[in-house]
Amino acid sequence: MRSSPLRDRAARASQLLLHCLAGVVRPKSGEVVLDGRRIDTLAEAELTRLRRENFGVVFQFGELVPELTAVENVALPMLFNRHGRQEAMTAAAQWLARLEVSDCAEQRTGELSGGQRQRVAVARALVTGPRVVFADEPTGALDTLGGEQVMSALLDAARASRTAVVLVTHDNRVAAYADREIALRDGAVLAGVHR
Amino acid sequence: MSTAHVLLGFLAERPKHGYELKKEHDHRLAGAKPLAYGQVYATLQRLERDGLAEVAETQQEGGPERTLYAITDSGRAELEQWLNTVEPSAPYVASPLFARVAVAGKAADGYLLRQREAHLARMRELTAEKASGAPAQVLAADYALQHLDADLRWIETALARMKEDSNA
Repeated sequence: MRSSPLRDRAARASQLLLHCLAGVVRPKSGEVVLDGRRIDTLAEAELTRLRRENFGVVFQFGELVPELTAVENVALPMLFNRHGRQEAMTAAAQWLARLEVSDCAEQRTGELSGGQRQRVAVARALVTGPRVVFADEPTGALDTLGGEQVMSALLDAARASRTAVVLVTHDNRVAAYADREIALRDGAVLAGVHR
Repeated sequence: MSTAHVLLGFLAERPKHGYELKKEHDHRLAGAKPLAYGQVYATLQRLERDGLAEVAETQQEGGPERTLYAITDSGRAELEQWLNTVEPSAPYVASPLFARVAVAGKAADGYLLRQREAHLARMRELTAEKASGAPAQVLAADYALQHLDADLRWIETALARMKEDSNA
């Protein structure tokens, strides 16, 4: 697994780049390539399918669906991918257990702590077995120890399922979890450091 | 940091010999430079001379002679005082990193980027060590990580100021 944090002092450029890589925004120039296949020129329906099957996303504030319980939130991407409800709920429960938040399964997301919410968001990002997880300041709303636990949980789970992680962060201590760094300044790549 | 006070602190728990003190120092102060045996024995002799520690027992069981040291009452008083002394904030801030920037000015930007990479590489190592480290090592790695992070944030600010100055 390789993890690359994308960094910029004014987070906007790195977020835009993340959205381009995740196939949410089409770049005005340049190419986005996944496994040797150019994806930024795909038709909308195909791109949507590719995103659903290959990508997971973790946002700074979890962005869970507040009307649903934690386990239903995690099951959601499976349902979108047309798995049966039973199968989706079983997989979701297993992922909550892996991230040590089984206790929260039946709670609505508003009742969860910030750290629990991010673990549920990590479970939701990984439940479909994606090739890549995009994480946008995944620990930005947490204190130091809470952030550390979420980073370890995210990277351990991603490593075990051989999923690459692309992180956007302005926090050097979060960036230090990654194998490789691509630093952005004023919208341009400043330095790419390989391990 | 005073090695004498650290060793006194370890002796306050129970009498120990030099080898044990060295091991304990290197484990509990993970991240610090390992203590040389010569320094352990020189420090113990100084503590003994000053009446802060004393020889409790000399053991010889076939092998080399081993001296067991114990803390004295005045040693305990000295330790108590050291533990409660607030470390003065340094009146001068000097580091080789800052000195290069002070000398080179705006020409330092290339150096700063390379320094930044070196610091981040070390932060990666420390972060990886933390994942499998004992509590003492995690605490030491946190201390090192946050100091490196402070340097990195200063480097980023310095680069931004240089850019601002050259745009003005």
